[in-house]
This record gives sequence, structure tokens and C-alpha cells, in this order.
Amino acid sequence: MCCSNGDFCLSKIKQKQTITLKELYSLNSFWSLKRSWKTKILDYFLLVVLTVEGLIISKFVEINIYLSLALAGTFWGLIKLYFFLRFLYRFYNSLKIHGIECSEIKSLSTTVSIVFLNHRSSNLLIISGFLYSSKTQKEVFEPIIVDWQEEYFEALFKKEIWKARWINVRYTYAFLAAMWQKSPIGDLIEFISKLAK
Amino acid sequence: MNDSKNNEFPKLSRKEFTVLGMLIGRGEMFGLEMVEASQGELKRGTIYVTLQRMGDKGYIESREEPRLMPEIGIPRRKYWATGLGERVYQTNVKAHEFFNSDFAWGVVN
Repeated sequence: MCCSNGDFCLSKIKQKQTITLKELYSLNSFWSLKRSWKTKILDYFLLVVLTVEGLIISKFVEINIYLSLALAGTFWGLIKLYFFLRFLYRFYNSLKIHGIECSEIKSLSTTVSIVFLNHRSSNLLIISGFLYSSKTQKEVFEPIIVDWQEEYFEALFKKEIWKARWINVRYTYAFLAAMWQKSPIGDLIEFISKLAK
Repeated sequence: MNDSKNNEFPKLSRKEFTVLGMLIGRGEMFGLEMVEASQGELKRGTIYVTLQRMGDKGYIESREEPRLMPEIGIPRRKYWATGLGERVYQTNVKAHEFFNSDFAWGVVN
């Protein structure tokens, strides 16, 4: 589905136009069109696997073939539901992290407004928020995320997809490097290297 | 402030020296601007750790730059050098100059 890569964004909200969560969701799907064929194949593959599994089980266990197929279908539906709920959870979490209220989205009216939510970076921010103090979070990790999103979406607007991907890789590394530096082990190693000098 | 006056000489690391040099020369800057201006000397992953440490030492200060209405998200942070930072930088520049001068090597006639 559209949330396969975890990135989603709102784009180009025209003057006096409001945007609802539903529209936001559809914009996200739009951005992920390129990947949809992969997820479709995976979906069908999963369905085929479950059906075959159901047929095999019905051969060995005393169970009605239709019942086994219905079970396989239900299982498939549950997996889809899980992924959908996971997407919703991440989506709302991301909104929370970026300080965006639902009412704000509905009442947004600008000439050309660009609101971006980068999911991968939001996840990293959740992890760092759990591990480090709020001061470090504010002074070290949040600025990295801001720079990350700025460079990433600038590349996306220029339709430089590969550059955007490279920026994702580079900033993931930068974020992890910052986490390492702020960790007690990183501090200790720096202290030892200073002593060695 | 008095501590830095009375105790040991406030040495700057290379990164700190570069950051202070830029902030004194150009005024207020964002972190990413500093990374781009340093031409590879400052890295995206370490700049903010360095800036935080410098802030703790009192060499720089920062504030959150509020976003204008079309933009929504985490506010960007702008940095500038404090008086102490400027003094420490100038002291380090003088120390470098002295170290590289002939006088320091006893060549002066």
C-alpha cells in the first residue's frame, strides 16, 4: 500500500483551499504510485500462499475446503488491516511530532503551501526522544531532522529522485552519528582519544 | 566567565574554531548554512553536537526561528557568537599568530 516506504507528504495547497485527512491520504498515495506495482505483487503473492496453504491443510486435516479458503481470506484481510492500522498510527504520530493539529490542516489557506512529513525521520526522532534528554532532542536531533526534510523535499521538487534517496541515506547516517556522539560510549571514546593526543 | 579568565587557556578544537570564525565573520547562521559554507570541514552529523557543546561553554547562543504561515514543522535554529566566544576566538587567533611568528621560535634579532 501507499505507506510502504514510510514517506508521505502534502503538496501544493492552493489559495483558500482546505485539506482534509482524506485528501492528505490520497496525496500520499499519489507520491507512492511508483511503488504500487511491487506492493500489488506482494499482496497477490500473499493471497496465493495463504490459499495454497489452506488447500494443503484441508488435505491433511479433516476440514472443509471452503472453510479453509475462508480462513485464508480472513487471515489475509487481518494482515491488510494490521498494515493499514500501522500506517494510521505512524501518520498521526508524525503529525504530532511536527506539531500539526487536524484543525490546522483543515484551515490551512496559503498561496502555495508545502507541508512535508518525512516518516523515516519521524521514527528516528521518536527513538532519540526515548533515549536522550529533551534539551539534546531540541538542540541536536530536531535541527538534523529539519535540515534533512529541507534537503530531501527540495530534491523531490526538482524531481531528483535518486538525489532524494541519497539524502535519506546520508541523513540517516548523520542522525546515527549524532546519536553515537551523544551516547556515553561515544563520549568515553572521545575523552580517551583526547587523552591520547 | 571568571573561570575562563582565571583558570586555563580556553583552547578551541578545529571545528569550534571554524564555527566561531564563521559566526563572527558572517553574523547569525543556520546549522546547514555553516555546513555548506565550511566546504566539507563540518559534517551534518556532528555540527549540532559541536554547537550544543559550544553553547554549554557559553561561546555561542541560539534561538528558534519561527516559521512563517505557509510553512509548518519544527522551527529552525539560528546561532550567533557571544562576547565570550568572540574573545576566545580572538585569543586563539593571536595564539596561532604568535606560535607561527619568528619571535616564538627565537629568530628575532
